[in-house]
Amino acid sequence: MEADSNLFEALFQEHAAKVQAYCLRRAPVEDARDAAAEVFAVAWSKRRQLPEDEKILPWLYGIAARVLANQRRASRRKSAFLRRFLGVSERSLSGPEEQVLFNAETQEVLDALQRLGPSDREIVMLIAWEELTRDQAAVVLGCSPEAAKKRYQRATRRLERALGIDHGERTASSRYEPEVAGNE
Amino acid sequence: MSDVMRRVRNANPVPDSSHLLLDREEFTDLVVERRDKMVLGRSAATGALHPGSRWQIALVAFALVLVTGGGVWLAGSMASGDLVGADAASASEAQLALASAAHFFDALNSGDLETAQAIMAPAISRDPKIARALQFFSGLPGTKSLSSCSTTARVLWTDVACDITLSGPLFVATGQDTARGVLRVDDEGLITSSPVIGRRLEADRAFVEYAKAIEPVAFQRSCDPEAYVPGSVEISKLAESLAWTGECAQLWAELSDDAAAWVYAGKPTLDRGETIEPDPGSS
Repeated sequence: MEADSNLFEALFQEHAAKVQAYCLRRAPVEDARDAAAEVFAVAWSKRRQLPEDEKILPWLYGIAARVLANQRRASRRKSAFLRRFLGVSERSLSGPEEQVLFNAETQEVLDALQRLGPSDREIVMLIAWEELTRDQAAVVLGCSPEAAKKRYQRATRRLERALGIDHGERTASSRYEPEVAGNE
Repeated sequence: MSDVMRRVRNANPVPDSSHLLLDREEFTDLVVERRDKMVLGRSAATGALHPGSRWQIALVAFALVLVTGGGVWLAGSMASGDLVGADAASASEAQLALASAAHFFDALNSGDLETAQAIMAPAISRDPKIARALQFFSGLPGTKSLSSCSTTARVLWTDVACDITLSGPLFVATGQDTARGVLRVDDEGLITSSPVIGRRLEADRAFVEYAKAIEPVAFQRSCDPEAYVPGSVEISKLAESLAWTGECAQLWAELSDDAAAWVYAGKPTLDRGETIEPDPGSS
């Protein structure tokens, strides 16, 4: 037990901030805070099944993705309740304006990300924001490296279309290779 | 890295996670709440592990980072006494957002357009029509006040949900003088969106109907959207029947009492030049 605690203490020290950042990038602050705490509670319960070192962070992200998905499902249930019984949506409760925001470029990219499907969006964010390789992203997503590669290529292609990026003469082989995401 | 991935990386809402942790010693000087919600805190209590304190450190650190950029608003402007903070865990963000909202409405009420526009600078830089909307809104008679505010912290901003009450006679007469709306305040205390600006209220419709009949020339000159080129700053899809100009707000102020009396009288048919005397029994 003491050994478990020491190991987990080290794991927490090394990864807590990154897990919290992962959650903050995907959920409101309060939800992210609770989700990140939940991630380590789950990880503690699975401490006997910890993966090898280089896969621990993707493994934690994978737990975080499921925890956040559960939160979203709960939120959707709440929205359904509001629609059904009160005749309102959470959107309508939050006011009529969408005259967003701070930085038009940032907002444009975030909007484009929102238009992607969940799995496409997740792999893009894992690679761009969590700075994972495609292989590590595959661990988070629970798919093969080859599937992650195809998903990533499809996602970036869709994102480029959403952002109106025209590559003209650029070659397909050079188009989708992120410098942080090379297969290892 | 491809262009698109570079843009995504630059849009990272939490680009640096290193600020999410502080030293334990630093933490001991800070007040932390919501301890009961800390899953890890409970684990620590069992003696099995002790990451809970560090976890709380992370939360406080995040709040401090948010506050650093906007402390100026905290300095002086919690003027509206009935503003209510929502969540102790994000009290700093809530205070900043509430102070900003109160400051913004104080500026609107005092006719200090320069300050109001400065607080809404992010929205105005994106859409110049909002500057016009502020000019219009500020010029309406009566006060605009916030009450029963609550805050919700988001990753990139704080939502401030308030009852927004407009005391102008026409708002009162139409029975729609209060609306629940959400102001969005960024981590510098700047308002990036406001629900009142451009909101179509019953008073808008009543004013248009009344002013068109009573002061058609003045209305056309100052308020009629058709007098402006589509897409110009005075025209908004949110105010289809009303151009947002200071002159229009002035006309509204001039006709406000009469228009309210007309509403109280049940909106009788209007002829040009007609005025409605208030019904003595309808106040």
